[in-house]
Amino acid sequence: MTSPTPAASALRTVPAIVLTALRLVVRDRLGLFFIVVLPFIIILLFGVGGAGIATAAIGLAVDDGPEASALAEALEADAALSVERYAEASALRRAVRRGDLVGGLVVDDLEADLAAGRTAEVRWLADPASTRAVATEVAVRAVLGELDARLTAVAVAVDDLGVPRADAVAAAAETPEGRLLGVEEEALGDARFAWGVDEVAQQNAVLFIFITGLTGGVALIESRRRGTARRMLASPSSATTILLGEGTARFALCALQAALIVGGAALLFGVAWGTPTVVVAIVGLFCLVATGASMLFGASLSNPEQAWAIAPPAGIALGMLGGALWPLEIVGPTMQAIGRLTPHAWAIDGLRAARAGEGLGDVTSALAVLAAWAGALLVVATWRLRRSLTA
Amino acid sequence: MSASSAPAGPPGPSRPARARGTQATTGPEVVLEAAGLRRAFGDLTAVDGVDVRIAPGEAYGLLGPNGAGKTTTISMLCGLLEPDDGAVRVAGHDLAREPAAAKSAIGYVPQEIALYPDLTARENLAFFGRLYGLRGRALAGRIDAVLDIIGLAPRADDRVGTYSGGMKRRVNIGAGLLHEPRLVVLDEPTVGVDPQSRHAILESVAALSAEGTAILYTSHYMEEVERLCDRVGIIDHGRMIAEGTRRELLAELGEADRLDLVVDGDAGDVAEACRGIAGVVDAAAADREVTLLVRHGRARLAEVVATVASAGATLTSVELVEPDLEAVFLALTGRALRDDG
Repeated sequence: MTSPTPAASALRTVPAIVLTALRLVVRDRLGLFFIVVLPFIIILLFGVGGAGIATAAIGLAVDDGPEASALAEALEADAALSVERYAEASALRRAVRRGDLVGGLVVDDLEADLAAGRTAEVRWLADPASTRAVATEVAVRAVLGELDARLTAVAVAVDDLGVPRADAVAAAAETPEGRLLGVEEEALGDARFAWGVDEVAQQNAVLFIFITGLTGGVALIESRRRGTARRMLASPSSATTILLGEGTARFALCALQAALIVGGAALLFGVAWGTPTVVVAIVGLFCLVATGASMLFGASLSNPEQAWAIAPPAGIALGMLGGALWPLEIVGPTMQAIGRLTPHAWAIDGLRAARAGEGLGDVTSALAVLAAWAGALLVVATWRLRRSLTA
Repeated sequence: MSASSAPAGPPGPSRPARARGTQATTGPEVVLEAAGLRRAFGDLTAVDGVDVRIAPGEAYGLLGPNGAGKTTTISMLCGLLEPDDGAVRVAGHDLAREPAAAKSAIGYVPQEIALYPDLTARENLAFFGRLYGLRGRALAGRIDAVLDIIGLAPRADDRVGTYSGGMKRRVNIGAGLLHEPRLVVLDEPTVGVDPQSRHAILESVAALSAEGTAILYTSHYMEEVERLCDRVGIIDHGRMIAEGTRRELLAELGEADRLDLVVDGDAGDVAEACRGIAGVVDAAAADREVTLLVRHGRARLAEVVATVASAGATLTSVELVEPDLEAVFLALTGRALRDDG
């Protein structure tokens, strides 16, 4: 048997390792459920359920008046919400407590406050333990933001430009989507933010790519424990080639997970992912991050039971911190800052930018942070894995 | 497992005369040549100056208790561990400078069942065959040949996880034979298998050796080594303390016999007491068993029985064994082979 060149050795060894890893995943029914089925169940439950097909019933207690009507119309115009008017705040409160409503809005003195140029206080009543209420609150906030932008535009037109109030209101109402361009963006800051199936699909992509990466590390632990890794090292393939194969296999699994969620969500739920180059770059880099985490996990732990006990909770915990279970916007500044330390937050930022139509030049920060994470994890993981196999 | 079946290969003269890729660069008299192997882990020197030479068709047994340095030695011989000192040549290739060529000549069969239980035997063999550069029809042909050798062709497409322990062991060995290596390294290949599978494995290894393949075999089972191996090396505390044919090693014992005792009582005390008997060369204890190496053992039997009683133990059974490698091992190391200490 002639000895192959390193390149020829890599060309035959890496695909063999990758194909075997994929074949093992296909044979594992539980693993398949986590990779193929579970992400779509969650998108369906939290995304479509929270924003699309099944609308959330909310109540609105506000005195009659033109602004109150505008508020009710704006809320009813959102496909995620169905609005029921209440004459008394106490009745609305009872309905929320009974669970008849997901949540309720109480606005006192809306007409008077706005006429006087004061900020009208809006109270959101909801069960804090309800994830549906959290999702609905985000939708409500988005509507209020739109309305606030319109009101701000009217105020600017009346106060600063001297436009008659009636003309300003009419002009704002006639503007597409009820917004005055230029004024709305400045007033809202995160105007593109909205909770719905698109958002949940993005979050799930990030969450499940990482969890798939971590659980993929279990195969590495099994390979070390069973001795298949040593057997591979006894072949003419070098340790570098085998590590490349194992890394490529883990990356392929993460990429497969990403393709399933991106493609599946687009086909099944009509999710618009946005700028393709940004989506590919962000998802690709995040798959590398998950690959590094997978290899580090596989090199560091000693048995699969330990890994199965740690991988899903660790993936979910990082997802929580990084905004892959709920938007970072709904947590406090400290938790937002902590969340920014995870690669998840940057990946979600990048995907949001893609959905907003931004290009690669607009997501350089996210790309740089993800590349740094991927590089650091892969270097440390490769070192540890090589050491665990050859020491 | 069919002991008589020869591995199928490309048409040509039968082995060892058959031309092979590595044969052009190696001498006809040696397949494995290791000199001065040394490896330390921190302050512990696991292997200290071990030499091994194995010729084509020769079966070499490496014996030693747990922790003696067998696995470290094998790891260095197979390129899994870099030696601190010393050199290994396989089929004429320096393992450090031409690792791919040297490793291509080795078929490594680890002690663990190093297979994927969720893949079939055929899929496992295909995977490991690809790592050695086999592909297409050549790979398929070798897989079929190896499945015949290990006697698992009818169950080739069943998942390995559904196999018995013996069947898994056979696939484990088969994965090391796919690329027709010139040297097969078997590390405890019969651990945990039933007698029938063990017999089949031993027959198969003997057939490989008869066909010209060099064999390096480690085992705790002395009878396997005695049955299979042309030469034996005994390793202890990282050093090769004896090496030779069975006859050469037994000659080192002189007239000593082995006495195997089973006692009720403290076996360690009994062994210690027996060391004082004239003619006792060595004594070792493990659990309730005491192994003695005694010159003219039959004549000393009565004195041994009395000594056991005086040590406060009751003799349950006693057996006089003809000199064998176990006795050699005991004489050289002061320990029984399966003594973990």
